[in-house]
Amino acid sequence: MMKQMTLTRAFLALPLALTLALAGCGNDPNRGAGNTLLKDITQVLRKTVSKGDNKGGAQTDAQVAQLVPLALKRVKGSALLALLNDGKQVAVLGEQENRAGYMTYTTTERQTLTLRGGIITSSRGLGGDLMSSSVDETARLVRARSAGQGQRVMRFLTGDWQEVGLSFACRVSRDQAETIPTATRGNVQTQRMIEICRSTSGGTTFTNIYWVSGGGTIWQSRQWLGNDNGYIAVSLLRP
Amino acid sequence: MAALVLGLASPASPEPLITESLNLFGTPGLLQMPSAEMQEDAQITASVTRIGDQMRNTLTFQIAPRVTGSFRYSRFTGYYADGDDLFDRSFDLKFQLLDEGQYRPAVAVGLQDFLGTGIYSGEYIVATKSVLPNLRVSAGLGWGGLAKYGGLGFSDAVRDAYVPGEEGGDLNAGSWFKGDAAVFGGISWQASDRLTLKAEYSTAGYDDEAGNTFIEPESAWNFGVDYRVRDNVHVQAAYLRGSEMAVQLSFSANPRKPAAGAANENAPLPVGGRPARRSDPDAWSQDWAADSTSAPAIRRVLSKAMAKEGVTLESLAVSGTRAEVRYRNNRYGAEPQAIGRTARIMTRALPASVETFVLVPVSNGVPRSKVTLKRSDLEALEQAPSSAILARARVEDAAGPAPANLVAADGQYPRFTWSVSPSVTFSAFDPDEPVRGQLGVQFAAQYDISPGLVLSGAIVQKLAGNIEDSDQTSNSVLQHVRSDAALYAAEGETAISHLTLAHYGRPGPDLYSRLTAGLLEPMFAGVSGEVLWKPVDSRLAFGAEVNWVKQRDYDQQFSFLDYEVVTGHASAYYAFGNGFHGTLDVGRYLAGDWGATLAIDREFANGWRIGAYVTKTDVTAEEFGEGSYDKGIRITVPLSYFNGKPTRAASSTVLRSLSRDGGAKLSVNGRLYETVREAHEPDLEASWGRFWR
Repeated sequence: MMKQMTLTRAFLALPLALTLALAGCGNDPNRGAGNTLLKDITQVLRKTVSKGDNKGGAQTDAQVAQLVPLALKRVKGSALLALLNDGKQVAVLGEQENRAGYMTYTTTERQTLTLRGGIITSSRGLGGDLMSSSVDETARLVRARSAGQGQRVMRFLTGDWQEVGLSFACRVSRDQAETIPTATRGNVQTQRMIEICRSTSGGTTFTNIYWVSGGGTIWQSRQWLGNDNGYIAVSLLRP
Repeated sequence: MAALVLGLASPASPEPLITESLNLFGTPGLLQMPSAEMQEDAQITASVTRIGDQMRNTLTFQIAPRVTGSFRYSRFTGYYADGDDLFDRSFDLKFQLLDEGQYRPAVAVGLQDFLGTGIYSGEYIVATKSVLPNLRVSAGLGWGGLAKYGGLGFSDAVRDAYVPGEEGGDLNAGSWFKGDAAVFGGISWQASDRLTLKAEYSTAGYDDEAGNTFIEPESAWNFGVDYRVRDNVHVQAAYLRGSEMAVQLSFSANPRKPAAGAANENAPLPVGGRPARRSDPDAWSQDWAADSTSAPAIRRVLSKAMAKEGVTLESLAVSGTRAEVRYRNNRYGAEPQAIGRTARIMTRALPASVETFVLVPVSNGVPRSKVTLKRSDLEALEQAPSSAILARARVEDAAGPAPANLVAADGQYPRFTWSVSPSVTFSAFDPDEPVRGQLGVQFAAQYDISPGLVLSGAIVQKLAGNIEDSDQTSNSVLQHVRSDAALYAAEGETAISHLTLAHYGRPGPDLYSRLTAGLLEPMFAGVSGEVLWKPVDSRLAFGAEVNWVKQRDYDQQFSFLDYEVVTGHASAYYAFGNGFHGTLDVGRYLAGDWGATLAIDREFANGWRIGAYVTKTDVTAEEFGEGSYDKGIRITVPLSYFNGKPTRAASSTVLRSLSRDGGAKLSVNGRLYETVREAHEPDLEASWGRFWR
C-alpha cells in the first residue's frame, strides 16, 4: 500500500497547465468583456517586454483574459502567466515541483521556469536555456524592497555544450509605489524595484523590474533570461 | 598609477588576427595572394571560385587558432595541349607565427599545394598589420607559383617542375622556399559591415601544359570587392592583372555556433523531493523492498517515464537503499544528458529509502561504465553548476557479474527491431563526373537474442544512380579489393549489405570484445574478431582486430570471388584532452599489403568531428596508382546542429581520391572504441554541462 502511494504520487503530481499557443481561438471578443482585470494584467505585462505594438499573430489581450480562468481551474497550486518572445508568446505555467526554496513551473508543452522567491533562476525547453543561477544577494534586496548592490551569476551552455557562468554586478533601487491588479488577490499595493546588472567581463547589461508587495511577494516582473531569450514578463496568477 | 596606464596602453592581445574574407584560393587572404590572417577558430568554409579557365572548390578549416588547413579540387579547362581538362587536388597549410602587437604586424608562414609537385605549389612568409581600425596592410615574400612575376633574382636554384598526371602525393620538402622569390603586398579596407575592398600587387601566376599562362599579365595589380550577403555567406568579385575577372561564392559554418540557434527540447522532470525523515519516518521505511510486487511496479513506472525521454530501460536491480538502472540512450548526443534525465526520473519514482543510484549505459547488451550518484547530492546540487555534481559522481568500470537481483524490463530480451530508410551513396573525384551517387531504399532488421548476442541484416534496393556508369574500369595491379565499386553498383541492384551474427562481451576488467561472422560488408564476408583495452578513466586505449575474409561476388548475394585474405590491425587511440584525438593502426590491409594508418581529428562535444588521415603501406606509388597512397579528410556533422532537436543522428563524409586498392580496410559494423569511449570519463566530462539539461 505504502509503495503504491509513493509511485503514484510521484507521477500524478505532474501538474496540468495550459499553453495558449494558438492565435486563432477566434471567439466573440465580447464574451470575455467581463474579465477586464486579466486583460489589464496582460496589457501591463505586454508593455514591459514588447518593443512595438502587439503584432505578429499574438493572442489579443482579450483572448488571453478569457483563457486564463480556464487554465487556473486546471492547474493545481501556484500558477504564472508569462510572456515570451517580445510578448508574442503567452503561456500559463502551473506548479510542477516545490523543493528547497525553488519552485518549478511548467507549460503543457514541457517548457519550465524555476523561480526562487519570484526570481527566475533557470529555464528549460525554451532553447538557449538559463541552466542555473546564484541570485541570493540581489533577491534579498528586492524582496525586502530595499536599495543596495550585489552580485549575481547566471549559467548558460555554449554552442559546444560547455557550461559558462556569467557574473554580473547589480544595483537594486526603489522606484515608485504602484497598485497593480492581480488575478486572485484583487488590487495589490506594490513597490516597483529596479535591478540593473552589468556583466563583470564587460558587454552585456540588463534591467529587471519587479513589483513587490509588502510581504515580499513578487507579483509581477520583467526579467532577463539570457542572450537567446531576452526578456520575459511574468505575472503571479496564484501564489 | 603607472602600471594602470601601461596596462591600458598595451594593445597586446592573445587573439590571432582573423578575417572572414577569403582570397581566390579559398583561404583567408587578399586575392591571388595570402595574408597573415586566420579564420575564427574552428570555422569551416566551403568556396567555389571561377577565374577564367580555372574552377577551384576549396574547403578551409581553422584547425587551431593559429593553424589553417585547406583542401582544394580544381579543374583547368583546356590545360593539356590536346585540349583536355586537368583535375587537380591540392592541400595548403598556414601558421600564424606572431600575433599582432601595437607596432608589430601579425606574421604567418604558409605552404600552398604542398603535397607533391603541385600545379599551385608555392610558399610564403607574410605580415599583416591593422593600420586603422578598418584598414589592413599586408606584405610578404613568395616562392614558386607565388613568385612567377617580379622575381628578385637572388637565387637560381631550380624547383622540381610540375609534371601533370604523375602519381604525386609525397611531401616535396626539397623544393620548399627554393628558387627565386618575389615581394608582394596589398591592402584590404572594410568599408562597411558588409563590404570589403581590396587591392594587391600580385606576383602569382600559373601555366598550362604548353607553358602558356592562364591569365594575361597586363598589369601586376588586382582589385576586388568582397560582400557579406548574410552571416556566413560571402560573394567576391575581382579584376585580375588588367585582363581577367574572377568570382567567388563562399559559405561557412562554425561547429561551436549551431545553425539552428540554441537547441530546443522538452524540459526534463525536476528532481523530486522526499518527505523529511523526522516528520514522516514511515515514508523512509524499507518494508516495501520485502514485497515481491514492488520491483515489477518500479520497473514499469521507470520504463514508461524513461521511454518518454528517449531512454530505454534494459534492466533494473533494486533493493531497500540502492537501485541499478541499465539503459540504452537512443536520443542524446551527450551521454551525461541521458544520465541526468534518468537520475531525475529515479528521484521521482523510487521510494525515499533508496539513496544510491547506479546508472549503467549499455550498448549491444554490454555495460560500458557504471556511474554512481547519491540521491541527496542530486537534491542538493540541482541548482548548482554542473561541475558540482560531476565532482560527486563516481565513474567506474562495469565489468564483472551483474547484481543477483537484476531483472530485464519487459520486451527487452529477446527483442526484434526493424527499419526502412533511404540509402544514399556518393563517390567523388571521378575525372569524368566529379560527383557520382546512388539512391536506394534500405530495409534493416535486428534481433537481440540475449544481452550481447545480436543477429542483424540489411538489404539495399537500388532506385537510381550513376556510380555504375563510370567507365573508369579499375586498372589496379593489386587485387581489386575496393576499385571495382562500379561493378558492385552495377550488379548489386538488390544487395545484401550485411547479414551477421555478432557477440559482444566483457572478457575482463577494462576489456571489451566483439566476434562477428557472416556477410560483414558489401564486398567481404567472413569472421571478424576484436578486443579493446580501455580503462574507464583513461585517455589511452589499445585495440586488436583480426579478420579472415573472402571477397563477395558483385551481385552481393551469397556467392564469392576467388580471393581470401587475413587482415587486421593493432590500434592505439589517444584523446589529447584539448579536443584533438589521434588514432594509429598498424597491420595488414585487404590487398595483403602491410602498413599503418595515422588519423588526427578535432572533436567537439556537440558531435562535430573534422580530421585527416593518411595510410602508407608496402605498396609502391606506381602499384597504388593516382595519389601514391590513401589519404583523405573526414567530417562528421551532427543532425542536431541543424535542427536543434536532441538526436544522435549524424552524417559522416570522407573526402578522398577514388577508392584504390592499397591501404584499404575492412568495414565491419560494431567496432568497439567509439561506443565504449562515449560512456567513459574523458568523454563524459567533455559534455557534462548537459547533465542538468
